[in-house]
Amino acid sequence: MNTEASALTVEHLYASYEKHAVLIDVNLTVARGEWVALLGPNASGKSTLLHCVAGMMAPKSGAVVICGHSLQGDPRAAKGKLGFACAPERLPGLLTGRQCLEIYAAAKGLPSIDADVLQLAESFQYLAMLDRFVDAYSLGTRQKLAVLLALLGEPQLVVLDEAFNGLDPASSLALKHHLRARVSEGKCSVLLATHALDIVERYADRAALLLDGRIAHQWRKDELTAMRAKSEEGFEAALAAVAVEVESK
Amino acid sequence: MSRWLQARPYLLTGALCWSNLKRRNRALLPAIIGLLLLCAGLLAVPAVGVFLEVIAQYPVTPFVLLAASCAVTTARRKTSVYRSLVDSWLAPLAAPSSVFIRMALAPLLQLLLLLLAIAVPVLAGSLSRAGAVTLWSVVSGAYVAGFVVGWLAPHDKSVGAPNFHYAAVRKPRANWAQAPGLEPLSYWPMGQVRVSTKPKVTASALLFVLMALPMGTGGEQAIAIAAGSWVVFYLMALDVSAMRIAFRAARWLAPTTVRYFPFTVALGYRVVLAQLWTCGWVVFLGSATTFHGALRLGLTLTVGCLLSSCVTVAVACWFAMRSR
Repeated sequence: MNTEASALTVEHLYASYEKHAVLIDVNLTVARGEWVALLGPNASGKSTLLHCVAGMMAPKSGAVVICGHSLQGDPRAAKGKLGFACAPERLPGLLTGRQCLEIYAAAKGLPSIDADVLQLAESFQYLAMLDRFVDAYSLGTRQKLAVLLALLGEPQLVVLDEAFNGLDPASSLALKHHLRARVSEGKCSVLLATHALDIVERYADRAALLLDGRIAHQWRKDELTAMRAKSEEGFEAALAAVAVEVESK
Repeated sequence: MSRWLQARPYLLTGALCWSNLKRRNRALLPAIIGLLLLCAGLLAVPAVGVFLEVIAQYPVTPFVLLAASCAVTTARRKTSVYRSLVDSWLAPLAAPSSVFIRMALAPLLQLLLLLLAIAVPVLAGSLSRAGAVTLWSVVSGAYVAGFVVGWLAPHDKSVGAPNFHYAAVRKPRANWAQAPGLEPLSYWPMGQVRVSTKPKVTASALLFVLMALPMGTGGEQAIAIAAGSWVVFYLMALDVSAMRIAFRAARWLAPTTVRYFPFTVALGYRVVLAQLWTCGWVVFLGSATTFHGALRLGLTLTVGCLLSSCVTVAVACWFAMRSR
């Protein structure tokens, strides 16, 4: 597998919480300029996989390579290519949104906050909240800040864990368009764990279904497009069918 | 802001949080300064100087206590610092984690404060220079030794992903949480106590007790003192966890119409029963020994302990229900 050509390569990944195995031989590749949606029921291991990719959890075995840099071998270089939206409740309540952005920008070695991130903040109608303390934010506002932090410094791989939760429809649409534009311009790749099937159908290039810690099925872009054209509940029905099939096995 | 600090997000976050805390609570800094001045005033009282002079004559006990406390807190800080490397909002960044500085900052600050505290009675003339030099050496040596021991202590490497709270259920209980009722609330403080009185936690507390025993203490006495300390620790842990859980449970049940009395009874009765059970055993074992008056003393202490627990739980629940 050519790890240089892909934004993310996950090979034979095993992860567990003490004796509870969560990921079992997961293999996944995200090409450069590709948006991959990670689907799966609750507790199927989506967040665990993303935490392994972000270096926030050490897998039992297996490899994670980000833009040619092994996360185990050269974590600093690998993390330098990564933008990960942390969980909203992890944001420090005693800092303002502006301070959070400044800290991230400084840590990433940026001279200033990216113009397109500020533009996205404006479309989120977040600018008015910049100088308020994070502990005064609602869930949606925290989510916006977490996403903005992930996008700082034009990372080549953006990893988002249900990042659309809590966003108002206008902000959600703005984020979808922003990510799609970035991906289409080849600026980054996106790995998004989500339950929102409209994002999978309309914006993702590929979808992967994680079931019981394994990638049970993957859909290519043309398959997703065909399913969307077929019927109103095309992808939803396909997803359910695969889940039932895997369950029966 | 210095470039050095900017390149260290963990330190920068801490500095900004402290600065924001001061901005939000204007009275905080004056309160801290006032508290320090009050402490300095108390340290200038002649009796304190005399007390410190006595301590300076027996330097082993304060050295052991300080070194042990510094070692335990450093080891705990090490675990929390390493945990933050995987679950902090800064964890995904490719930036310096400043582990050593974050670990050393707090003990260094404590050491400076202690050294200054010893200087106050010297300036007030109630402590001799020789005594002060001994105490400075004891405190500095204890902190350095404690920090090194804590730093070298193995930290918990089995830290899982953020929010990893898989509970180990030993056996499923079919008789509770099946029907509507507040009774399962009583298991919450008990579960908390089970966590806070794990051997790993209590061992460090007992370590202090055993290390502070004077030389020449007999083995039987040491065991009795350790056991007694463990009982006191357990009884206190029950009260503390009941208080903590009262606030958490009240916040959790805020959207419901639960009333004060059933809430308090449900939350506290198992804690009081556990104390009764523990005290009962202590009284039984105590009265079985040759110690005269153990039964009367034990019963008095048991009643006092149970009463104080009932009052603690009731007051905590009252405040918790009001504050939600």
